Amino acid sequence: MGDLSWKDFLSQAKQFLETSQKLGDNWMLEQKDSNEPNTYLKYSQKIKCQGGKDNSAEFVNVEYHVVFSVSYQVPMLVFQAHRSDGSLLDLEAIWRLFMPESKASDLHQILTQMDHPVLFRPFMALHPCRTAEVLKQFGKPSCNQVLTFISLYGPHVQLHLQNAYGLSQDFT
Amino acid sequence: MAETLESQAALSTSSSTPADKDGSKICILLNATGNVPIIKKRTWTVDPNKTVSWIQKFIHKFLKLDASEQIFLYVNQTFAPAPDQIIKNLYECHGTNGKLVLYYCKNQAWG
Repeated sequence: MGDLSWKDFLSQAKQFLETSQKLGDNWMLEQKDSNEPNTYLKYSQKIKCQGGKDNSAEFVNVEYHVVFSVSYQVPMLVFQAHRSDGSLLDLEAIWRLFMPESKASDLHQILTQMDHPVLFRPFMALHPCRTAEVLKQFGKPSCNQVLTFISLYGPHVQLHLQNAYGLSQDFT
Repeated sequence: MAETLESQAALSTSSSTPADKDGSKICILLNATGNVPIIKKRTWTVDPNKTVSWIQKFIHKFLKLDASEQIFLYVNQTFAPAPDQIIKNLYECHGTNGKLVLYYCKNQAWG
């Protein structure tokens, strides 16, 4: 276990969305068409970022997508961040914003730009190669691996879920 | 290293003196899953204002893990709380019978 099929991803993403609606935190499900893997979860938020042109604080709008990786058969977190003037943050700026302590050599294995599997545009992506392994370590297989995945990997890019997400696991 | 950590740590046996003002430490139960070594002592008391990442670091040091390996902490088999979440909040949401049950596992996160 650890990896999951497209069907599982889809049903768990919908479960996740129901939980979100109960908690009222504005996750959305985007569906391009009904083919694999053209449905993904979407969430956006503003993040305060220290490092504008003269080191002043600025707000960055980040849009997160939780997509299904066909090659790895796991959920994958991709995102795009832009400033209030509309300009996109490049990879260096993203690294500075989210992972200021990591070494550059490591960063290439963690977060780089990749093709969005549904939109076919370049997005920042957290690498999925260890995801299945990590999910497998969770004692009994988690009853919603999409939720587990988001709660595990989201914090790396300041995507935090409310504690109450952990409670609503009575769906079977 | 582990000793110094323990002596300054708020993770301690239940009988320790309540040093903090409210004196209400939170009792947590640590369960190992996957391929991570177990910690013999399962019940610990923790300062309610410590964060999840602090506990992760504590376990990491306690088990003397390699730097490339990461400790993951989760509740309810499903949910991994944010690293900056404090234990008090987590306990209020997920505590049962006066205890907060936490599961931990390890893995390399990247690469």
